[in-house]
Amino acid sequence: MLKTELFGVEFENPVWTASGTFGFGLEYAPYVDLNRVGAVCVKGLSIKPREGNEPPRIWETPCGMLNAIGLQNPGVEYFVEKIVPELQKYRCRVVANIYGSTVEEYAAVAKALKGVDGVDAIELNISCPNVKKGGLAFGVDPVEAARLTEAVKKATDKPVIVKLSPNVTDIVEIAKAIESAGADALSAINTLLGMAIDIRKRKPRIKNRFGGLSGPAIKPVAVRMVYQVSKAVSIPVIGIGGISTWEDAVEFFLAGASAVQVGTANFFNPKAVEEIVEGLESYLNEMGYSHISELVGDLRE
Amino acid sequence: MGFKVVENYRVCGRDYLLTVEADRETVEKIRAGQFGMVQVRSSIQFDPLLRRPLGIFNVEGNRVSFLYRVYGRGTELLTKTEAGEEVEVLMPLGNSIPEDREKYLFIAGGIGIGGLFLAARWFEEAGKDVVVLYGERSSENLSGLPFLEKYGIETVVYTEDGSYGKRGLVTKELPEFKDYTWVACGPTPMLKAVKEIAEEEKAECFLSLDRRMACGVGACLGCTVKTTEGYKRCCVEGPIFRADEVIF
Ligand SMILES: Cc1cc2nc3c(=O)[nH]c(=O)nc-3n(C[C@H](O)[C@H](O)[C@H](O)COP(=O)(O)OP(=O)(O)OC[C@H]3O[C@@H](n4cnc5c(N)ncnc54)[C@H](O)[C@@H]3O)c2cc1C
Ligand SMILES: Cc1cc2nc3c(=O)[nH]c(=O)nc-3n(C[C@H](O)[C@H](O)[C@H](O)COP(=O)(O)O)c2cc1C
Ligand code: FES
Repeated sequence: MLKTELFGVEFENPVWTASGTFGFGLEYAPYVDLNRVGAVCVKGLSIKPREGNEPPRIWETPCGMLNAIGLQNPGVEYFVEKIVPELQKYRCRVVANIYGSTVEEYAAVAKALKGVDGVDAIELNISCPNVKKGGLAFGVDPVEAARLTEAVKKATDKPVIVKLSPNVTDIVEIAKAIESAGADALSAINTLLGMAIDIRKRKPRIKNRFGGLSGPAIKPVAVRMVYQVSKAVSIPVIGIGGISTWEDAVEFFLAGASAVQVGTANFFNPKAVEEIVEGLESYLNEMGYSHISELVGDLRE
Repeated sequence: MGFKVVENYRVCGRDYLLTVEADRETVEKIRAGQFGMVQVRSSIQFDPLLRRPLGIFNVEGNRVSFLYRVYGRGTELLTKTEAGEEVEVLMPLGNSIPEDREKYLFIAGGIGIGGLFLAARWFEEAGKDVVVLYGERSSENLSGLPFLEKYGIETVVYTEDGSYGKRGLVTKELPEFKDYTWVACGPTPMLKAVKEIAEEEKAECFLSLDRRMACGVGACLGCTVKTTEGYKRCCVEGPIFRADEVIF
């Protein structure tokens, strides 16, 4: 009922974990049955290991949180050698989230993943707002975004998902440009750029000044963007943003998502993915759907 | 995991004791110095969003307690939880205090006693030489004291206003204990001072650190501690760090 095929890859279910919110999956293995997770999108990988930003890096906000982790990661080589073999012990699919500061860097990471067993797809983070020189430039400009997508497609044999930034004026224009450049799917959304201030110290709460807003607070923005994008493109759209319950997930499917990713909710409820999977099943039964694909975009307007 | 609340009462000042009925399997995993991520709201609301890290204060049978101070909205809300309700707690988390030394000096600044009491109690019961130095601003916040007394742990209390025990800071007489292994938990200025004195006295010293946390399991990379070996995660590589590796 929940088995989902996207870009030639079969997923046990369409409920995945979002990059940067589930580590490499293994951190949560003692608390979550990874076999019940459709796919794990791992923490953003770069060609070289990266230390990340100076702390403090996180701040809680009403129904959400800001983060500026700065894309700390052990590098793609370490991932391939040490982490992929561990993840292969589980049935969940593995999506490698990657980033770089130039087209060449992105392509190099994609190339390092070429032919690697146990990596089922690549997700391009063109939207992370945290690193000053980071991916932002690609995500806000349709021409750059398309150029990047093409280069990565050329460098790899894996399906390529491009993850959209919400910090743009017209997300549809960018989504279309990326589709034309050959992306296999889109995911949306990444975090919304935000800021919080300590009024006693009169300083930003996060060392990096700005941070990405995530959690239930961003859900309505994400639903709207997934709706607009999925109407405009014919490749699958994966919904992300504040999904914490199965009801939230259903909203995204109705808005046109073919799969969803759960992010911040993992932090406050490690069982979120499992609960959403169960909830979706009973919702489908109750509403008379025989398969999740029938729910996708089934919005009555 | 949802655990039934046995009691949640004010001990003194702004300090409360929350006790939950856990299961055998969870309790058997607990080592001294570890913590739990405690949900402070009900599951049908989303604010405040994240769980709060609290040190595992005591374990009796399957009962696990947390001694917490009301600090902001989350801990304030937690005081409203009543016996019989369920709270979600992910535990035990983090590394633990090395158990193989013979003489331990625990240095608690205020509610820092929350992260040290269980170690003091267990090591005392294991026949080790245990001394607790317990510092507070004044007598009305000494919430750990009844527990230290109940378990017969040798304790020296320091208050800044002299309203109880010795007058002065908890760091005042540290050099007298240089042949002990020190474990400190408390506010950052205190930890900094302890680290410096330990270096001067060449005492072995560990610090239990406190960082803002989102996940508590090593996934979000939000709880970074700066060390001589680069960034470490307070929730996995900590909360117990060797004092000499911590960069303040
Ligand atoms: C390993 C560890 C063990 C701890 N043990 C204890 C204990 O035994 N007893 C106790 O009273 N306190 C303990 N603390 C501190 C406790 O977590 C904070 O006081 C609490 O999170 C404050 O939440 P709040 O909602 O009241 O404050 P708010 O300021 O409203 O919280 C906002 C956000 O900041 C975080 N936060 C705020 N202050 C702290 C802090 N000092 N440390 C970490 N995160 C913070 C909260 O978790 C939340 O995400 C511990 C912290 C850590 C990291
Ligand atoms: C702590 C943290 C780290 C993140 N790291 C990444 C990352 O490395 N790459 C990426 O593409 N997105 C990253 N994200 C964004 C999430 O994958 C997701 O798009 C966003 O948080 C919105 O979903 P949510 O509201 O369910 O969390 C991160 C988010 C958080 C909260
Ligand atoms: S709190 Fe998430 S990594 Fe430590």
